[in-house]
Amino acid sequence: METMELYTDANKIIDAFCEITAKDLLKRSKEPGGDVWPRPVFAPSEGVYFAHEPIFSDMHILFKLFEQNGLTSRQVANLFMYPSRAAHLMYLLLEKPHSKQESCSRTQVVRKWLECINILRNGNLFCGDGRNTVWSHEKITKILHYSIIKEVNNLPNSEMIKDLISKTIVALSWYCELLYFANLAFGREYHGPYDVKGLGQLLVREFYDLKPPFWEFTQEFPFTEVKFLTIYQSSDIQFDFAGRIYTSQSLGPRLSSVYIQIDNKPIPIEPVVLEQTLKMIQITINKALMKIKTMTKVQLMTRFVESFFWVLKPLKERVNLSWQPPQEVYRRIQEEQPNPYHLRILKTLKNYTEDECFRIMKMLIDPRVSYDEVRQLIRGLDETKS
Amino acid sequence: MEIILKGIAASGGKIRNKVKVIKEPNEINIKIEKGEIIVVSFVTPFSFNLVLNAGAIITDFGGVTSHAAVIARELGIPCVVGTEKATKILEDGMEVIVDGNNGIIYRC
Repeated sequence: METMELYTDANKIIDAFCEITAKDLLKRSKEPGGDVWPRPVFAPSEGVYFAHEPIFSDMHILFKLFEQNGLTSRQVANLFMYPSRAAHLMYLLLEKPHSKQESCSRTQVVRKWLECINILRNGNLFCGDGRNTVWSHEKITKILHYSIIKEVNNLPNSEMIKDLISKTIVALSWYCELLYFANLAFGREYHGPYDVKGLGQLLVREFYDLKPPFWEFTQEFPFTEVKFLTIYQSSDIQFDFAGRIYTSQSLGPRLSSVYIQIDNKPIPIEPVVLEQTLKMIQITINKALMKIKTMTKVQLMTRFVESFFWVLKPLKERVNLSWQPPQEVYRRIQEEQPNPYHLRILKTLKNYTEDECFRIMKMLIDPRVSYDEVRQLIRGLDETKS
Repeated sequence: MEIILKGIAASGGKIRNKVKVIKEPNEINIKIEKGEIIVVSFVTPFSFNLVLNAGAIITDFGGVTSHAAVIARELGIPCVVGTEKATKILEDGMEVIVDGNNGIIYRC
């Protein structure tokens, strides 16, 4: 398990972050692409182009204010609510700061931000052992003591119940994608797997922040938070830094025990209740789809960029600031043609070896490295080839 | 059985059924029979109602971490992704076997 103490030199933690993230991004970039909504309307990279500067500038100001106000690192971390929510801000690092000064302040922000994620993951910053350990051992024991987890296979209509639970999880995930696009973790945290003696492995799925005000359709959504405690007898679930799960197995049919809580109240594990719950989610999703289908690129891009600012809401409210992006951001989305630098770089990766791609990717995500240094590396690699 | 397509095995299991090819990924009101095999270029938010009722998913694009793959594993339905040409080769009503363990589509 990694701890911040291991990284005695502040730069080492950023080195480790760049290395891990570069590996992950490269692995994912090898997969046949084209499946990330809202493509082809716009690429999420274009949203990053508009959001990176004001978000890091806000974070720099906020961290300074928290320090002046004497907030502890734990208190700051808690304002991010969940680690994967914070971790998803990493995609903003793909676009580079424009000045040395901006680069310095961004590096300070990244150190603090990684410290917060580390706290929220109980010292397991990069999910190095494949677990996203949001809950401590004590918390799991306490929660399991108070939550009545039902063994699904002993219930009448068990197959139907498993099917409905899977569909409800998928529907909520889908809903999060409509709210937050590719940054699903802005509205959900999957964590675990935690070993539960005699039962198996506990995987927790928390859906929260399901009614952000920048989408009108959320007003009709019936819940704010939904939590699933699911136990599987065995699983090969692994988490990455961004909080994505990897598993080679089907999850739904392998479910052995479950507890579901909606807005802090447990719900009965009965087909009729689960059907009603799923139906309510489906109704809002279908209304949302009708709405989204008619939206322009600029309108969708605005929502996407707003979602990054929404993540900072609890931090901003702590110092009585509005969560909303500055007017300048809205103006730029309206008027400017996005030209993300990292997208141009990523398109050229096929010309390089695995090791070269890794070096490029590592520099691209590194807040300490400038555009010029990435260009220099690429020029050097090209010269060696020719 | 004749192999008609290969792709990436993204979610295990085998199923035999008719396919429904979705040519317009942003269409919301396409209906399928429960358990039908849906064939899409890639899963978009507009595929929601299709996926929830599908018996299996076949896509042209995407890898094991794509939305289609993650959703299929959650639902426990077979899924083959990254076939590159499923929407061109398969036709509505064609009966196939989807082998999600090996990433293969057979003609019945």
